[in-house]
Amino acid sequence: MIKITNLSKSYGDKKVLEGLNCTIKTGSIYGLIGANGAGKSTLLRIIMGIFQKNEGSIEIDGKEISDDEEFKQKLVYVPDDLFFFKGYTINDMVNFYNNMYKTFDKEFAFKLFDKLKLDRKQKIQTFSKGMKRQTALICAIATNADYMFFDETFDGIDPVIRNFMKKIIAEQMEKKETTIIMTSHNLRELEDICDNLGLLHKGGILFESDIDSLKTNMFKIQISLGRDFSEKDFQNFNVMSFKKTGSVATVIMKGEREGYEKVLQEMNPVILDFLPLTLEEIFIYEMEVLGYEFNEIV
Amino acid sequence: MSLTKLFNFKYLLQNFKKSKMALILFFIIVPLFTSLMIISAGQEVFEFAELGLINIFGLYIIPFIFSFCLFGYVFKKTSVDFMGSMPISRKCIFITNTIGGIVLIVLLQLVTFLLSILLGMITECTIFVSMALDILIFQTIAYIFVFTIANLAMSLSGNVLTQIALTLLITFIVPFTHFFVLLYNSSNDYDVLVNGSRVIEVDESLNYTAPFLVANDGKYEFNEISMYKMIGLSIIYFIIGLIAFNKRKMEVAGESFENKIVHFVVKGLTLVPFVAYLVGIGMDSDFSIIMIVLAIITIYYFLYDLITNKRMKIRDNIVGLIFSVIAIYGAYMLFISIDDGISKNFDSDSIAELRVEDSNGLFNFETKDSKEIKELLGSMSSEYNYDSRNDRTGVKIRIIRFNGSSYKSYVHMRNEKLNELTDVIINKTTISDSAKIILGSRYSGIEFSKEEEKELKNELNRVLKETTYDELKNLSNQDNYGYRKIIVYEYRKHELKIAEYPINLSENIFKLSAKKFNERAFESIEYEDMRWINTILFYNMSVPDIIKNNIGALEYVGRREICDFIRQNYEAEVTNTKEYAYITGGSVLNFYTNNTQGLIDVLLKIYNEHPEEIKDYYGNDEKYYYDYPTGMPITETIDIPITETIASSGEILE
Repeated sequence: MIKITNLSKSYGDKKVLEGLNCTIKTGSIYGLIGANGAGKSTLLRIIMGIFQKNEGSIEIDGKEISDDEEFKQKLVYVPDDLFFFKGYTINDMVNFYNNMYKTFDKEFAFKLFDKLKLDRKQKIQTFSKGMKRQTALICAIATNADYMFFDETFDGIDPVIRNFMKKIIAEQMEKKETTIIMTSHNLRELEDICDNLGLLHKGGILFESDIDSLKTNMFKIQISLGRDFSEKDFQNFNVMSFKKTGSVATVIMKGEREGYEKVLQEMNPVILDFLPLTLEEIFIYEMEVLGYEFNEIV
Repeated sequence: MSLTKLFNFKYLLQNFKKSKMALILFFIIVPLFTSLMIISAGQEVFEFAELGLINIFGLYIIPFIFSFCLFGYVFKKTSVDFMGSMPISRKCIFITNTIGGIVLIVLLQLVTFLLSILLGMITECTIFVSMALDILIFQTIAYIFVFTIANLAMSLSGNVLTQIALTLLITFIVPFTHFFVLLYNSSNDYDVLVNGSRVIEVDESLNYTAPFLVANDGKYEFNEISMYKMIGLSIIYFIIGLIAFNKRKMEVAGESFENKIVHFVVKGLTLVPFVAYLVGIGMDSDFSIIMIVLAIITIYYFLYDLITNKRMKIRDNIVGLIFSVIAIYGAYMLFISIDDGISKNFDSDSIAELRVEDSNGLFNFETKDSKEIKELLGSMSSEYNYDSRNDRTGVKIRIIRFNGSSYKSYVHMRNEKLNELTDVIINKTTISDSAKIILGSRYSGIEFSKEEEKELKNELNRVLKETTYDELKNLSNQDNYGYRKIIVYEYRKHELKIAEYPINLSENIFKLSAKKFNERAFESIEYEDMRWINTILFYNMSVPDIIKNNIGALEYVGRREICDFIRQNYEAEVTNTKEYAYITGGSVLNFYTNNTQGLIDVLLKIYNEHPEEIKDYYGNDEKYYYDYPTGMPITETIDIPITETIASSGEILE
């Protein structure tokens, strides 16, 4: 488990993280979203020991993070801006990781590279952006580290390979109960893989929840009551959004769906359709409740 | 803490691998160019600075390149993310890379050392193993010293340019300031006091660290104090570097420094050489020069910001510039005024060792006895005047004090004390087995075979025991013409000692030397019709006036016949106990013969057979004189040989 308490970090006079609190459960995939410059990368760098925090604490498995080699063997990081040594091939990188990580699985890495048809002898510098990202992700996954941190995880990767990588990440998590923290400024990239999501804004976690409860606790209906009606008719519900066009209203509600459905049926609706909500919509409405414009945050 | 937590071999190998091309390139430069230098040197006895020449140039570049190859990742954000996330602690990275760099430096110096020794054996060059070993030790420490400075600079700075600036500052600012202040006040001169009275003046040897030792005035020699200083400072820089690296804010990558004040201070300190120049020329010098210097300083100051920081604030820079120039100028003036007031003398009681050496290297004396030191110093004087020329002899001295500082001087010693000293020393002088003996000159002299060299050493050791210093000096003075000397090179106490002995020191030495000279003389004319002959000298005999009076013309007109004479007589043994003649035609033609009658006959024959050419020679005297190929004057004063000189081409002395 990763427990971040009151974390602060400044670059000179500029505060990047301020009083950040967050808990990430072991064996979960945590999606960290936020606009560019929100502090996602800084947070990951601090966890990895690359940058030093100004205040607060970060505990992993109950121990304060440190620069110790044994401790760092548990962590792997794929940064936003990828780096490969000049002239290195996949084989060279695999050897490098193999020398650095005690638990690195060379065969597993080679198997994945072959599956993705990445030439192991070709210089990585000549790869496309997506291929470089695949290389970095595979090397990181093959370390078998307990905690994996992926910054802008799928940046540059096409949808097919993205799904493949997601599958690999999910399998890895199941295999070893790995904890994975992914960042993105694009919510859609993370919604089908993450268990938990946190929204980083102005140096702190603005909103955090597990996706299952988010999705089950919020729903969208389209309703028509065969008479004139308004938002007041729904005052017994936790309505987050109400929009009426003609005789049909689209309502976003937060609460237990089964209980709400029963009450709504009692209102004898002419039309009552439950529609799925995308994660982005959920976030938009949650942010609206908190008084933020989601599109301005992410 | 386990060693594996401090040193990670796998990481080091990977680190070497990623920058292998640069490392290999700079690894081979010193050994390769040193080898080329040795091969192309021909016959030469290498001195410390000469053999270490390439190493000296490398000192300013290679340790820095090694540091950059191993630690350069800290200057780039992407590589900082990548390397910083790897399971290896910063402490381990710093220690591993430092050890790796030191290993590279040691290997580089070891390869250079082994190649030097090998090439010294297979080429005509003479390279003393002990000297090469000194270079190995001194240069290794010097390289490590610069390497640790570069690493410390890396820990503190955010980009490679500031690393360079900081490396230069740490390396040079203290010795530069010290030297500048000394230079300004001419105050490395010390008075040596014996019982409170000044006896001589000596120059303090400035034991700067190697980079400044060379940059200062090119003096580069094995310097123990400098070496210990570099070891001590390297350890300190390593520790500070390690602490700084551990605390380094990696987000500074690509910037100048994390802290603006540090950037300002470093930028200001880089103005030191410019401001020192201003101090040197003085504020009352030509206004236009001062303005030009100030303009250069201003341009530099602004450029520094643009290059290292990629941004600048004009107002801040102007204020910073004015402040920095005034602060440095003021500080230098303060140092100068403080140093100027210091009384520079020391008492003989503080002297640990005194070394006295003849300027020709004919004797070396050293004592640690304080009573003897006082007595010797009491017989010395730094002043020399015409009246005392017969009472005193010039000697080189070196003083080493108990605090490790050393001083050099050339003083004049009373002859009676010197004789007392030399009677003992000359008898004790032994030429070591490792000594190298060369006949003639250092660069085009004649080498002896191992057996001959052994024989010569034995003979020299035997003769020196029977010869007084005065005799030795007289012999040297009497027969110091041209190349007729035996040069003994020895590398002792980290110095190349050179002693020059006359070849007529004994009959055996003369015989062996004449044999070698004659062989070389024959080689030089073997495939030539003739060579210019500069001088013919006759020893222990009289020659006909006709030869004496026309020797210049005969040497010129009859050079073909004289060369024929050399060809016919070069194999004959020559002794100096009988009458003999000496013919020289430059550095490679030195010929001795006891067949003086034969030579006289040849000269007479030339005189008789070439009357017209001899007449022409005198007729075109002036023209000839200027066209003479070696520029050697026809009539010249020669020193009297050990036995009486009867005839020569020049003036006959008593």
